[in-house]
Amino acid sequence: MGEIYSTIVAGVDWFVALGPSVMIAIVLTVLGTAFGAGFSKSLRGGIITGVGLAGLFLVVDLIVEALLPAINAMAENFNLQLRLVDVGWADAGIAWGWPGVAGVMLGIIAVNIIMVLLKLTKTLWTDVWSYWHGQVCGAFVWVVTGSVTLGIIAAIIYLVIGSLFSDITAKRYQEYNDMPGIGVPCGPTVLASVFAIPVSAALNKIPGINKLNASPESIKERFGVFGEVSVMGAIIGLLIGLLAGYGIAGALVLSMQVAAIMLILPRMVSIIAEGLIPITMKVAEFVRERFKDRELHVGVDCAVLLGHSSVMASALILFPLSILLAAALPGNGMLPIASLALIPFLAGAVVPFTRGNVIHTVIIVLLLLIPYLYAATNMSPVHTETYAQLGMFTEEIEGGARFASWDMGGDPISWIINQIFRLFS
Amino acid sequence: MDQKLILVVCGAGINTSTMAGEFISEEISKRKLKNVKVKTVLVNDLPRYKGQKDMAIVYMTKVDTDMGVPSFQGMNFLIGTRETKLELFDKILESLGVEQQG
Repeated sequence: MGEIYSTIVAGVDWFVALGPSVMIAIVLTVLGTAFGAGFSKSLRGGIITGVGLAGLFLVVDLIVEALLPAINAMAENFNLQLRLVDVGWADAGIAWGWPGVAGVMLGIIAVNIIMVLLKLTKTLWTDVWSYWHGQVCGAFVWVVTGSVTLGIIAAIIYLVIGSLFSDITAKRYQEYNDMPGIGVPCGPTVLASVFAIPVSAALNKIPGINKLNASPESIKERFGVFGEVSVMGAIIGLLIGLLAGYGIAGALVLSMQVAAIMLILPRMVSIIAEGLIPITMKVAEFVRERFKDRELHVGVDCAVLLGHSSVMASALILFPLSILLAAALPGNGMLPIASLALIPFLAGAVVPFTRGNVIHTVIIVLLLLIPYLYAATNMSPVHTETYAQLGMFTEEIEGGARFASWDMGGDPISWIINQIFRLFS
Repeated sequence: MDQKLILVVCGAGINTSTMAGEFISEEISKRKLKNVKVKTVLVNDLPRYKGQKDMAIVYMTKVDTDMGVPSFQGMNFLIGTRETKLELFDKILESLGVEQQG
């Protein structure tokens, strides 16, 4: 028994040591072929996702190399506590690169089908890409407990919570966005919506605040080109460079580097997602055919909620405000830069519940970001250790870099699950 | 031959529009429709295409702008069965006046 076990452990270790890019390419090729997406399509998908991960890590290298020293210098100049590197969606690299990745994919599909059969949920978990939030939650649990199995269980719990929250929120999404039949079980999205329901009701009762609103069109016009991600990144980089005492030339260089980080990181994420399409299509068609006759919510990506003009308008106001919030919040260690990319998604989740009220959306998201910032700071040691265990950024970590992010480092549900599973370690 | 364009519009350009775009481009090449092209764009880039003719728009998110061309809610490309996906695709081709053999 012991021998078999140690062989398995050695096998898993060997596999993990290949690094996330190689591992996910193999996993997706095997799973895709098993799901009937065809070998060549699955191989192509696996390689594309591996490429996306490789690209993601290049961007993180840039973050650590360029942005980290600048933020440290700025923090020193102004006596701030912001010492953590915001790696943003680089956590997708953890998601698709940890040893439990295939277990979680198969596990949540099975658990979801059972839950739908037992009528415990109306949500079909068909959006394979969005499993990544659960995957990271699981990887963090793996790191604190040392058990891949516990990590997989934690990931599935996270994803099940997503489907239950989606049951609550789906009707409003459908009605407000004219999309019958959909649901969005993606963790950060549904949490923001469930948070928005009571807070929005409370805001509507406070005299003065209940009447506040702003026209999304005029906000977008006023921001103009400054609302573009690249331009905004350049401005943020320039300001940080100047506050760090880099001088004009140094600040200009940093400005382009931060613009590059903010524009390229989400592009890399989209490459990762593209590689998952063959599997997603098969999973969606498979469960759809089986539950043709029931009225269910088919899980889709949270991007479907971004179209309303009040979403972008709220996000534009939130970008600078959330940076200020992070700087002002006592005990917070992370200055959000790469993580700002999450803001439109949070706004998109809240807008259906404020009925497009920009001011209310901004207030709700800012309140929600407080637990995000504290959880991100608190999870930073585990977060950093997770990258170390996957053999990523080892030099940077040895050099003292400590990582954080909102999505998933600061995800409140993941944080709670992690605290509970720590009891088992 | 007139060049026809199917524009798939999405909020983030990460996942949804790529899924729909992939299905459409697969069908286009399967049916050998040489004069139909598919392109995925972000909501914010949509105004650039205003005034373009021979175009149909597939929305993967709710959009407020009226583009004055045939528009379709494309969610079925994600959540539909194979049958409903093909039905929607045929409707889009019809609105573009694309003739199919067979």
